[in-house]
Amino acid sequence: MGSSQLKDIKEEITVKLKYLTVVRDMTGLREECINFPMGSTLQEVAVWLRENHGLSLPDPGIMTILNGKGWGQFPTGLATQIKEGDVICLFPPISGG
Amino acid sequence: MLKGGYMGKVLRVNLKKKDYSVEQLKESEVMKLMGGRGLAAKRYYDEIAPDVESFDPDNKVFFFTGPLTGVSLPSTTKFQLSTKSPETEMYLCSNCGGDFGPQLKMCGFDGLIIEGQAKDLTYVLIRDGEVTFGDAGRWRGMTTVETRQRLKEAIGEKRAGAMSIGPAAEKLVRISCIDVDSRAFGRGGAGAVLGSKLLKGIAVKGSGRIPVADEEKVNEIRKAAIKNLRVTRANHTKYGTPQYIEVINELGCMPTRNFQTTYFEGTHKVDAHTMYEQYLEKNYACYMCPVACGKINVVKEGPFAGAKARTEYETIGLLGPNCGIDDFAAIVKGNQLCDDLGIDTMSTGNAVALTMELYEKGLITKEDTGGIEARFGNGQALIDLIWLIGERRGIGDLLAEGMAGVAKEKPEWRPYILTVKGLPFAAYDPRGFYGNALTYGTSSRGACHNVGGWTIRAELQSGQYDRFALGGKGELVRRIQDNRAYVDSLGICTVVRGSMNFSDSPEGEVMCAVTGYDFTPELLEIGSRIYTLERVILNREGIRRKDDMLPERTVKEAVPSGPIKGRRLTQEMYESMLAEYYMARGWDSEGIPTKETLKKLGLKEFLS
Repeated sequence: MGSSQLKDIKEEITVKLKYLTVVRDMTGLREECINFPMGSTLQEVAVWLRENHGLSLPDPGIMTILNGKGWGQFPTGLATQIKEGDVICLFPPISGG
Repeated sequence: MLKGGYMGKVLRVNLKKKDYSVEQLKESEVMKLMGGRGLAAKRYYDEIAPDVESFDPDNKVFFFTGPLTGVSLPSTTKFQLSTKSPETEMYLCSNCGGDFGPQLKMCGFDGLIIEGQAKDLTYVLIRDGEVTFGDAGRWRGMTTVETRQRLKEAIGEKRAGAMSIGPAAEKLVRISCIDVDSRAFGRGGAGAVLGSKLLKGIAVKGSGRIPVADEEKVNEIRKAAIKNLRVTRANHTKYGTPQYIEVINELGCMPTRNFQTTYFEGTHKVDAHTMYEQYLEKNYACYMCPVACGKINVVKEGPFAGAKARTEYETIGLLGPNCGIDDFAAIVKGNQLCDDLGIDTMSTGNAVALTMELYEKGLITKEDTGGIEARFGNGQALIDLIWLIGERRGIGDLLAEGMAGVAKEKPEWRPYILTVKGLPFAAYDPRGFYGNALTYGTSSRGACHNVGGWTIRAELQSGQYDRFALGGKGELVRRIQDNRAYVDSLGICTVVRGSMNFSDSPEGEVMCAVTGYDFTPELLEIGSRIYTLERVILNREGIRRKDDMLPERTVKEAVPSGPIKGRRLTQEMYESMLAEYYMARGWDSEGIPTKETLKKLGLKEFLS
C-alpha cells in the first residue's frame, strides 16, 4: 500500500446508518456503512441522506439518533462531529407500546 | 349535570342478591376528577377498606367511562377499572378499549359497579336500563373468546359490548385478565376478581344517544382529527406497536433473557417487518378508530400452524426476547394461548422468563418443570409453561400466584424476579432510560410504563434530558404521569390524543364542545389530583418509600452487552431521582402527600 493510499484511508471514517421500521421502507435498506471525510458533522450526514435517499432532515416524522442519543441532544447539534464506528439510527417517533 | 359527555347515572350490580340499583353520578366528583380513572379511584377510596383482600367478597370492581367515551370522535373507546389487585394485593387501575364502554354509556350509565359474590357461575346482561342474570354453569372452562360469543348470543346482538374471563380466572390465577371485545384489562389480575365473584362475563347493548353540548363543533373536530391521524399515525396503521421492537432493541433496552441483558440478537426475526411480511392477516380497529393499529397475525406453517393472535409490542417483547425466543410463530401461539386462557401476556412472559433462568442456572430441574426443557429460546417450552400457569398445574400453580406470591414462597429466587410492588416489568429495561426506572418505581400500580409515565421519547428527543442523567427526571416523570392520568379519565386512546391536542400543554375546544364546560385549562391539575388520590389510597394500604424501590438486578448489575454495555444504575443514583420526584409531587420523604399538597389539589376536604 502506497503512502498516498494510506493517507486516503486515514482521511475517511466509516459510519453505520441503520434504518428502522418505516424509514427502512423509504430507503429500501436495513442498514449501510458509509464513508465520510474525517471531520464530517451530522450536517454532512443529513445532506448525504437527502441526496441519496430523499430524506429531508430535520423531519418531525423521523427521529435521528447518534450512538443512542438524539441529534438534538448534543450541545453542538448538527455541527457535532462524527467519528469512526459511529452508529446512526433513523426511525419514526415512538410513543410507547 | 353538564350539558354533554355524561349520562348522569351509575349502575350497581349485586351478584349475591342478583339485584341492581341506579345511582346518580355526583357532579362534585365529576368537576374534580372528570371521569374514567379519576372516578374509579374515588369510588375505590370510598368503598374498599384497606384490609379487604382481592378475593374477599367485599372487594368490588368499579368500571368508569370518561366524558369522551362513545362520543363521535376518533377512538373514544376507553374505559377504566379499579379494584384490589390479586397480583399485588393493593389498589389497581387499568384501562381498556373495545365496544363495552361506549355501549355502557348508550345504556345510560357512566359507570358500572360489580359487588358481592354469586352462588354459582353467572353472567350478566345489560340492555339499556334493564339488567338480567343468567346461569353460566355450562360455560365453565370456556375460553374468553367463546364466552364473548355466547354472551352476544344471549343478549341477541352481534354488536353488543362483551367482557369475559377465561378458565384461568375461574381457577383464581392471579395474573388473569378481563377480555373485552378483543382488548383486555390486562395487568394486575382483575379477571381473577371476577373469577372469585363467579362472574363469567357481561354483555351490554344500549340504544340511547350520548349527549354533546355542541354537535356541530364536535363534527368539525372529528373531521380535522381524522385528517390529522391519517398523516401522523400512518406508521401505526401499517406496523402497529410492533414497530417499536427493533427501535427499543437498537436503543439497548429490550428485555432479554429475563432482563439479564438489554439487546437481543434475534430481533430481526420478530420485528414489525417480519410480522408484516410473513404473518399479518389484517388490521382491526377499536370503536370509532380510523388508525386501526391492531394486527391480527396468523401462523401459516410449522409446528404452530393455525395459531392466530392480535400481537402487540409488549407481548412480543416479553414472550419473545425476554424468553430468548426468536420465533414469531411461537410468540403468536403463546399470545393466542394467553388470550384463550385469559392471562396477561406481560406477567406471563416474566413468569416464563424467570422459570427459564432458574432452569438454566440449575436452581430448578426437569423434575420441577414436569419434564419441560425450560431453556431460553425454546418455543415449545413457552407454550407448555403457559398451559401449566393457566391450568395451575405443576410449577404453574406457583407461578399462577404472581411474582409477589412466588417471592413469598421462594425468597431465594428474589434476585431473579423483576417487579415493583409485585407487578412485573413492562418490556423496557430501565437501565436504558433512567427516567423509566423512576416510572416503574413510582407507578400507582407497580412496574408499569403507562400509568407510571412513558419517558423514553422525552429522554431521547428533548435537548433538556439525557437518558443517562439523573437531574430533572423527577419533574419529567411527574408531568408525564399527570398527563396520562387525565388522558385515562377522558375515555380516548392515547394513540389519538395528539390529534385533539391532549398533550402536556392541552389546548383546543374538544372538552367545551362535548361537555359544555372547558376542562382544558384544568386538565393537568386534574391529572395531578388523580395521581395524588391514588397515592393516598396506596398509603392507606401501607405503601411507603420502601415499596418504591427497584429490584436487585436493576440496581446491582451493569448491562453486560449491546449498545449500552457497562451501563449501571445504582441504588444511590435511583434514590436521588426518587427524592427529586417526591419533591416535585409535594410528598414527604416517606412518599406521603403533605397536608399542603392535599389542600393545594383540593383533596383535603374532598376526602374527609
